[in-house]
Amino acid sequence: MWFAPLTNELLDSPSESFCVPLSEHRSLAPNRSIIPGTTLQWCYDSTSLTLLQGCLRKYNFRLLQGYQPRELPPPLSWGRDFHTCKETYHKCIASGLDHETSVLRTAKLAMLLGERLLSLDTSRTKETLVRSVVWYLEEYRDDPLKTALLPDGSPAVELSFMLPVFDLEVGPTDELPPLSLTDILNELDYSPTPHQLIEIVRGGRKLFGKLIPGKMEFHAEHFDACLEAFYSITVHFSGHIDRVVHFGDEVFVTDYKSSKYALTSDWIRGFDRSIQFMGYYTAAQIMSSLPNTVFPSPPAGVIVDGLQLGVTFTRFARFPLRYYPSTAEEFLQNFEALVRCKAEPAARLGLYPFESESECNHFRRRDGTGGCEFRRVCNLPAPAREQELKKGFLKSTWDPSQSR
Amino acid sequence: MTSFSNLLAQTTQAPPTDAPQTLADTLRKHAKDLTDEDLTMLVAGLREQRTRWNAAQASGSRERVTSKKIPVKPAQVSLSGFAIKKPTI
Repeated sequence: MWFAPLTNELLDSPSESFCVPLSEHRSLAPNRSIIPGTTLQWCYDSTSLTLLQGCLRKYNFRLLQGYQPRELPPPLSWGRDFHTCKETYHKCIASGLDHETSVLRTAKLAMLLGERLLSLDTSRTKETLVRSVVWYLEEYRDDPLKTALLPDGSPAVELSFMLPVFDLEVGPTDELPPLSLTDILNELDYSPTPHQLIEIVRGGRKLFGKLIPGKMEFHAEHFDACLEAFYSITVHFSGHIDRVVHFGDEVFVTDYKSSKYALTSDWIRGFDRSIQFMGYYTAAQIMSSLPNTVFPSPPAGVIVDGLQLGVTFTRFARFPLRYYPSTAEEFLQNFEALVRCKAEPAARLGLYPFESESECNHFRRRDGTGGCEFRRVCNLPAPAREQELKKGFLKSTWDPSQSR
Repeated sequence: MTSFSNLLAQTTQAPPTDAPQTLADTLRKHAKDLTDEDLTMLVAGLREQRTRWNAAQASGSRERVTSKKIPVKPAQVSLSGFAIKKPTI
């Protein structure tokens, strides 16, 4: 079932105009962010980087093997639905609907989405979703943050990006078997020109790799250089920005975060080293230097749109987090280090050990709930783990190379 | 002395049919069954709840403004300004 907010219709299949899926969608498609024949990603988002930084075993279970809990944790499913509602409101406004009609359509969507929320958490229910959406739109009716517009005039909300970051040299894989000049010549029943030879090598790189300069003169001694390029992948950083806003004469990226706890300075300090926020800022920095960009100037940082969810109220607070070009530089260095020092050796050696105990207990509450969802699996002897994963989890591909 | 059967009768008594509808009742409705009027009432009820909660916060009260405390009523349609057009002969 789908909901088309612009026409206020419920549809059995998506129409050409903007519509929102109302049923859970679990992707079982192959993860195209992983280089075929390997367990190495060529495209990372903040989720995969956070997993990679936290615990290699969790990264393997969740990202490489694609296991996720049968029921999404309430904060994730609630947050996803709130994002969808806010995106819908902005799209309604951008399509010419007035504020009041847009609020009504968004409230209807919140009711529809709220019905699929599981009542495991009293502060993340259908009622808190509908209430938070309507209260938010009231709270920020005359929003000082003005949504930026894309060059085509559409609002800069829910923006997907994928940016090349660095080249990584990898060895031959199943997809890219060892290659020698003799192999190529033996395969062919004709004598290729130097140009054809380069094209043959280049043609093997359907998936990745930097282009060999077209003017390169081919000589036998250049073959090693061609091979180096053949076995290089360009590692990308991808993601999904909630909204780009103008605040005064500055530009910020915003992100919504909900919490059951008070929105204090302690709460916001929890995001100090957030890979997600530093990543968004870095991506925005890079995009601001590209032509036809939504960023008229380099971004000043990230504004966290905080929502405190009570059973009978929702409280709002905004926190600007300022970053500097050095933040972006450090993020890119850390990104490269994580891939070179953790992802690539782990993929090459096929080793995914569990890591610090603090990762297992991250977000673990005093009542024993929370923490890493794979703790139960990890505690079992290695031969029993796969069966437990199949029994207690569902497969769902998290593919950073696909825009949402 | 109240007997058990009396208590049972009280607790199982159907609510009076003219009981005012609350925001909680509207929120419980299935989204697919919502009419445009229901939606308008829902949004108006949530705004009322927010106003009351803000007022309670401003006065330092710790009152819980639950959705059960917010009555919702159908939007009043104002007929002022409407008139039957006199047929022209």
